[in-house]
Amino acid sequence: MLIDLKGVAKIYAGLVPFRALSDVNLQVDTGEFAAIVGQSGSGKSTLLNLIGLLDKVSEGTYLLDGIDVSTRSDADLTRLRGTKVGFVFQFHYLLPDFTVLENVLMPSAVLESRPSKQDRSEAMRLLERVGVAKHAGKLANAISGGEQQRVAIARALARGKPLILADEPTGNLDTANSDAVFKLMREIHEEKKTTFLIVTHDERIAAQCDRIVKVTDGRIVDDQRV
Amino acid sequence: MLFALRVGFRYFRSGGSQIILSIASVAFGVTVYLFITSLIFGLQKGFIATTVGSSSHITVLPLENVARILLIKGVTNLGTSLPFNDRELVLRNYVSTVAELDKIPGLIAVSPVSSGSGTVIKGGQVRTISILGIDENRGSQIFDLRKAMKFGILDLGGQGCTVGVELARLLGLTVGDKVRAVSAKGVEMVMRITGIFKAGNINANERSFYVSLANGQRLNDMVGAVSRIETQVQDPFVDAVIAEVIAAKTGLKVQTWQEVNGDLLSGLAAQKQTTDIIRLFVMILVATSVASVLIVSVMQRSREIGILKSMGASTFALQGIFTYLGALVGFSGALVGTGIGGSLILWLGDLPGDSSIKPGFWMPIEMQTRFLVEAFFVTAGIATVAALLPARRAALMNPVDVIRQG
Ligand SMILES: Nc1ncnc2c1ncn2[C@@H]1O[C@H](COP(=O)(O)OP(=O)(O)O)[C@@H](O)[C@H]1O
Ligand SMILES: [Mg+2]
Repeated sequence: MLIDLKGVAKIYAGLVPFRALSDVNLQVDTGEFAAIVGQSGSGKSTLLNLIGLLDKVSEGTYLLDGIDVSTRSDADLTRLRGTKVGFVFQFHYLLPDFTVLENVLMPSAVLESRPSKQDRSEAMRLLERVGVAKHAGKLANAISGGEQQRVAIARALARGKPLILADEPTGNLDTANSDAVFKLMREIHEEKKTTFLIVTHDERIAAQCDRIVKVTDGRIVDDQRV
Repeated sequence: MLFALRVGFRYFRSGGSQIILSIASVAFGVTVYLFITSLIFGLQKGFIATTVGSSSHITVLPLENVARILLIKGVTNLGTSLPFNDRELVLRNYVSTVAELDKIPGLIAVSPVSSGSGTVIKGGQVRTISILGIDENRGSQIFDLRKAMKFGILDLGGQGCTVGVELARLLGLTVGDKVRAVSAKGVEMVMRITGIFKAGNINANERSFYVSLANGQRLNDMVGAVSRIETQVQDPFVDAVIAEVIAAKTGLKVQTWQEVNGDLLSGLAAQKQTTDIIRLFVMILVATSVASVLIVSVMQRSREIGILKSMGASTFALQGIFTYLGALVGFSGALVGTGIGGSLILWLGDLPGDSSIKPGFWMPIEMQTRFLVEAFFVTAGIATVAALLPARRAALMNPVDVIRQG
């Protein structure tokens, strides 16, 4: 089991503490391709951030790949995140001062300072896979929005990360680009058996996933395998 | 930290006008720093050269009579008495003292002087003078009479004497003229002018009357003795230790130029404080400029910081990126400042003009390599330190927050 959340709650501290997630139980196996759906403000991003170790659970336990993350230091979690989790957000968040290729190499650079030859050829393969290899040498802000999101996917996949967390990855794209990006994720999943968790409110997209987890008011109210 | 350096360098390269502006202000800071340092150094060096450079740094004098406690049988203290001395205080064993001083490392000149007041008479005119008997060679090491010579040569042999331009003008003297010198001790000699010098100080030009040591001793009525021994050290600012060594070795009274020139020194010290304050302000300018460009940069790049964190970039690495960025701005600014600013200051210093401190030049600017090195490293260092706080802020950013805002 890759993800194992038991009785998880997330309470945002503040003047009035806010309970964004309550009693969440979610198990995801390696190789799943699941959608997380729910209304805006229901807690989807909060859930994804917990899973991706960007934030810490307030209650309950979380095992990522068998590791109880509550027992690990921040530095450990940062490293764990760097090796296990790839993120795709609504906005691509590419580094505009770096080329497309350099952006895809960034996860390697972060971890080992100087990307190896293998890292480079892997990055080029990924760029080819997402169809933007011809732009490899361009600055990241010099390509179109759809292309940028594909580069962001390539970046998330770099270094063979087992888990991709995508938070409304098509939210900023038009229908054609949305479909293309989703199709790409689907294909990569078929090829590599990478685990995908995709937050979306696009029902068409959710319907094409293997599993749909529905969040309402911070609780999982429905969890169906298609 | 290679990763942080690479990202920091890229941010630096693509920083555009923001980075260029902050480099410019760092460079400007360095220039002001260099300017003020070189100017004050030149000024002080000029002052010191004219006042201290050609006079004694450490003077060895006869011991003064010490006050004695009057003792009468049975009564301990009746008060003190300062014994009256009817003989002028002179150094009798000066030859051996000079030999001893010659052996002290750090002393670059040792010159026994027989001095006394007197008058010089030419035709119907009389002027008060200071009769200075010196050894030509030793004396010239204290005040370079040969270099100061305007007319004639330095030749104190026989009846030879040399006077300042002012005295020569007042008495209408030219080289070869004979004058009558009468000392306060009543000794009279006819001397021949062999040279006329120009010193940096008006008093010397008007009063100094140099004769050979033997003639000085005769005129001042101290045959076999001198009034004092003048010395010079390499660096007049560090002579306190040598002064102590001299006092210990000779057992005589020792007086440093600082003791004699208290006013001048406190003036120089006040000047130095002003410089330090200006330098401090310049450094604050540099620090704020670098810090502000970094704060802006960190804010603009908060999303990138967030995504780098999500990729596993450590706090340390993120702090490194922006610290390197600040250091790069600091070092480039320091480089431009020492290069362009330094040349500008050198050029300013070489502009013709009218400065009494550096004759023929507009400003008494004296650039030193160490100023460049100091300005470079101080500025670059301050810029790097100024970057630390904004960098820390970047490193501690919560990726969830910045990504959610996006
Ligand atoms: N850092 C935070 N502090 C306080 N409240 C937050 C914070 N982040 C999210 N929330 C609140 O938690 C709830 C869930 O947010 P989010 O997970 O972003 O929802 P979704 O992604 O489903 O739209 C929202 O009501 C949001 O306002
Ligand atoms: Mg959301």
